[in-house]
Amino acid sequence: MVKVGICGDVTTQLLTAALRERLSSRGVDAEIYEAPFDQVRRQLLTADSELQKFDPRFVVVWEAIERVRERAQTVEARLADVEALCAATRGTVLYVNAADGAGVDSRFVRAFDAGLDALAETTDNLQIVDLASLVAERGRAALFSPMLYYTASLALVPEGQQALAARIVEKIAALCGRERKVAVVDLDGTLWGGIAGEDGVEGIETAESPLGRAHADFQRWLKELQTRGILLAVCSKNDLSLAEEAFAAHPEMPLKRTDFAAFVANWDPKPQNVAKIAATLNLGLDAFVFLDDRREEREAVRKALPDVTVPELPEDPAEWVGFLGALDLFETASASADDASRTARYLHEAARQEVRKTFADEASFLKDLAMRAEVLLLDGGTIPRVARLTQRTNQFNVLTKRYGEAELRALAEDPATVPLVVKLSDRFGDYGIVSVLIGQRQEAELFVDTWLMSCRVIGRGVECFAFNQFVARARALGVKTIVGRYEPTAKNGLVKDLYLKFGFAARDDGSWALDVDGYRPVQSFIEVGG
Amino acid sequence: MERQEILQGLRDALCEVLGKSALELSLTTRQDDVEGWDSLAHIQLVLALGKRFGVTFTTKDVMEWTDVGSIVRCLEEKLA
Repeated sequence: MVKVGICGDVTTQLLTAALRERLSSRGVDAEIYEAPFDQVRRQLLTADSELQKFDPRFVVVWEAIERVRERAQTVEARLADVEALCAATRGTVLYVNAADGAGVDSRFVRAFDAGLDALAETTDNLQIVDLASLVAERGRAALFSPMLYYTASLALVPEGQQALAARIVEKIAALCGRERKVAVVDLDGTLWGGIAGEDGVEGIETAESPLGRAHADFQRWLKELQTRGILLAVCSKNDLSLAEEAFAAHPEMPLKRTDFAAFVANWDPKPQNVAKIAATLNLGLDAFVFLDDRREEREAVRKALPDVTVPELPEDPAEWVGFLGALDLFETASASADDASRTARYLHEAARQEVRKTFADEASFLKDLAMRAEVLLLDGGTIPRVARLTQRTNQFNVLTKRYGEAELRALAEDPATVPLVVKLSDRFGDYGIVSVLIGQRQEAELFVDTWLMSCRVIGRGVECFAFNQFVARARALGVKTIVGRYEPTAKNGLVKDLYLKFGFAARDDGSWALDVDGYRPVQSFIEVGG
Repeated sequence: MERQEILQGLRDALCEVLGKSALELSLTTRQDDVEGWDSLAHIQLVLALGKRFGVTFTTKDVMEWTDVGSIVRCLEEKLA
């Protein structure tokens, strides 16, 4: 359950109603507090305001450029105000940026929006809601009514409020780990014009003709997603060798064969293939977007796999980039170095799976991987990744506590906190930080606050390595008992019996307890090392 | 358009906005007299009337709506 606060210096009722409806249909269970009109500073900067008492995870702040006009501030002063608002709240501020056309100097608007983007890079509880690009897409005349602004303080007409709400919901969903992570694309008619099997690989349209250039720009849009950490997968009705040949024969195409984390070309029904891709990538179907130029294929996937997002692509490929961009499908909370290497990590995993086939048993395979793990501190270098892990990890997660960077910094400084951050690598490559344990010490007891592990490494024994290290640390601190709790969610059934596996005993109040002195390390094939 | 027709159209629009099947409205009925006719409903009424009667209201028009009668007179002028 996610708490969302809303405050603005313009009317927020229509936005609130739209958010409520859209959060619900996006599957986000939300409780909303709407502040009274024009109380942004009062609600955010006063310690015991209703909003602060509500303590929301997200606060939508809408200071419309039309009202900002009244204040005659410099860009720097405005940005300092925004920074102060963020510093005053625990939750993440979703700040609506400024759109041009309101009679405010365009240079002010552009400088302010650029300043907001820069501020968001360095302020970990600030995310920008891009009203500017929404207005650029639809036009101010379509979204703004001066009469409604002066009579009802509405900064957008009802359709505009809906569109803004849609953007905000995608941001929230992304920040709750519900973002879409994979684009599955068809080949013929989608990545290129024509049909490789009929026109021959040389005959497909990829660059020179007007249609070829439209497809090439669509590929560029996909490539840009991939560098931001979105995975690409091919699902095509084709012979596999022909499909691969098409890439080899067209090196001028923006996308290369190696840009795809999965590549499926056969004559099976596409819903089946998409489900297989999901299983291979170990991601839920609700993280998938299916892009195909053929209506029958789109309808088949929609029907068989309702969790997959299937945009109704316009008939003309020339319109796809604009259409898809406006849908805001691939909102991510923020970009990081981790994202750019995501496809490479999936390809390493594919290589591991190939090698796995050569082993008769799992143990031999795990030994062959030559896995090494490093235990790291919870500090400036690890906190960003740890925060994202707490926000996105759903399956191997006993208490599903979501943390922002500021909260983790506070935890790291608290002497009662016992953190354990595990980074894994093997002979195929680096997995990055994959597991986090956080304990809260109270005299001789250590309470498990967080125990999570990335789904990348399920089955590798990382939880054994990590927990062995955790107990060793507890013992060194004089802890006698480790106490754990499990809170079931729709996605974490995997760890229902985790405590049992590690020798915890169930207690009457539903918690689990482990006697530290009696603990014997569980074997894993992971060695300490970098 | 006849005054009665305008009043009926206004009544229908307000019913839709408030989610009611029927409303008693006279020319002297004010916003405060009708349950649920809050500021949000008022915005929705402005938009609904503009659509229903195919007219555009100015800021001054909307400011002068103090009771049902003033809304009806405003619409009468626009439709004349």
